[in-house]
Amino acid sequence: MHDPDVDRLTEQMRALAEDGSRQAVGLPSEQVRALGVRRNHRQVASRTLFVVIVAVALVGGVATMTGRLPGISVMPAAPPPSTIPTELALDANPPADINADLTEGPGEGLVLRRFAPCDPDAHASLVQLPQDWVLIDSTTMADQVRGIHYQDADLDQVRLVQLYGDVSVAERVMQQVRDAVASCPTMERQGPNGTVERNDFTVVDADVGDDGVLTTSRWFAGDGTQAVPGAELRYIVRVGSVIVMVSELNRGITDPAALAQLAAELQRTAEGLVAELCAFADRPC
Amino acid sequence: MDAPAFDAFYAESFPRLVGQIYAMCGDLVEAQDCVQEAFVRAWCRRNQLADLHSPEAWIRTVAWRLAVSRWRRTRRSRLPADRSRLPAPPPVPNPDRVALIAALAQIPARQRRVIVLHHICDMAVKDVATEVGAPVGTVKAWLSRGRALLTSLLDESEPQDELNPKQEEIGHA
Repeated sequence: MHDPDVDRLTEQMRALAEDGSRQAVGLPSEQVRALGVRRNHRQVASRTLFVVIVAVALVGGVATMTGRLPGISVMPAAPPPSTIPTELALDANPPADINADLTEGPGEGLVLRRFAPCDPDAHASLVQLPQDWVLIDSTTMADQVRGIHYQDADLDQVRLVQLYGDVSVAERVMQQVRDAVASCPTMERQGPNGTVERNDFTVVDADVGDDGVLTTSRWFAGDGTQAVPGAELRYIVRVGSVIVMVSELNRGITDPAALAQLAAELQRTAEGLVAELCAFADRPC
Repeated sequence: MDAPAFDAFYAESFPRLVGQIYAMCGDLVEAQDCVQEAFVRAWCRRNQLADLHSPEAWIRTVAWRLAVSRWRRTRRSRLPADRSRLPAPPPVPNPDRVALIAALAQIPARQRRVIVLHHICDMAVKDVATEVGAPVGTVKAWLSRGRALLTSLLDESEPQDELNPKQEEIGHA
């Protein structure tokens, strides 16, 4: 016997799930497999390192007890960086004058979302992105992510460090970032009193790390000369297999000098992180 | 499970699983991320995956656990206001869909999960019990309570719309 209420509920639930299925966009399966393989390699490397450390400790113990080293020498080779250093000073030089309502991190437990660089209101811009987009804001895609997020009434500042499997993946991510920000369309929105506001989105190369860009997003009303308060600046920088993002959404900024000062502060923050990540860099730093 | 088998499994089940997890957690982006991550973990364990009775159930369980743990973290820290990190809203704000998602969010997570497994995944109660690791009687109770609560929440939202169509228009603008 059917209960009409249950039938109706089932129908609605199924429609909801089908809606989700239709909109689902996944990575190509070969990329999913590649991520899985890399994760396995990392786990094996960690176990190997643990075994070596235990062996060194045992040999050291024998040497201490007997007063001499046994007839074997164990010299573990320095492993290439496979993790983001836990001592990385993500919280160095916090935003000036911040009265933080919220600070998440520093650490790995941040709630991360998809990277939608062109969309000032983050409205469904995902569909414009390539299918094989490597998400720089998702723990699903990067092998390891550490970050910190400051928030108060005036600003949101995020510092994220994301480690990829190797330099080639990070280079591809960086290229996709460049492609995505280069193709951002000019957007308009309704301002107060029926005015139209236009978004000014600029991209320039940043002289930080192995490769980098700085994007700036601002809104202008009227004929394009009347700045609407607020700006979003984002440094995205590659250091070997690591990508560093330092971004700030500042809700009150209007003055070009203040904007330049903010850009300089964010650049210094990015440079500080890059300097600490020198071991990952393509070239000596 | 070899690469071609995994690829076929992924292509066939990814959208379906995203839909199911979406119904469980109410956030499409979150559902997508969690299912994607579950497939990455599945490939790490591909040797064991082939021996499982239902690899899809394994993926669904992992994705669900990821969604729950992310949801707990979000609740603890409040959702950040960085615009690049806000979830993308559904493209069409269907009023019924909005009401259903809001109602689902108000019922306990375990009731939501068993409702989805039973009514969307077409699983028998005993299979639901196996997947969630609870006794059959408990699952029946969760199903019954969850459905009753959902029905009453959905009914609550309907009469107001009928009484005041203008309000509906404003509410969904």
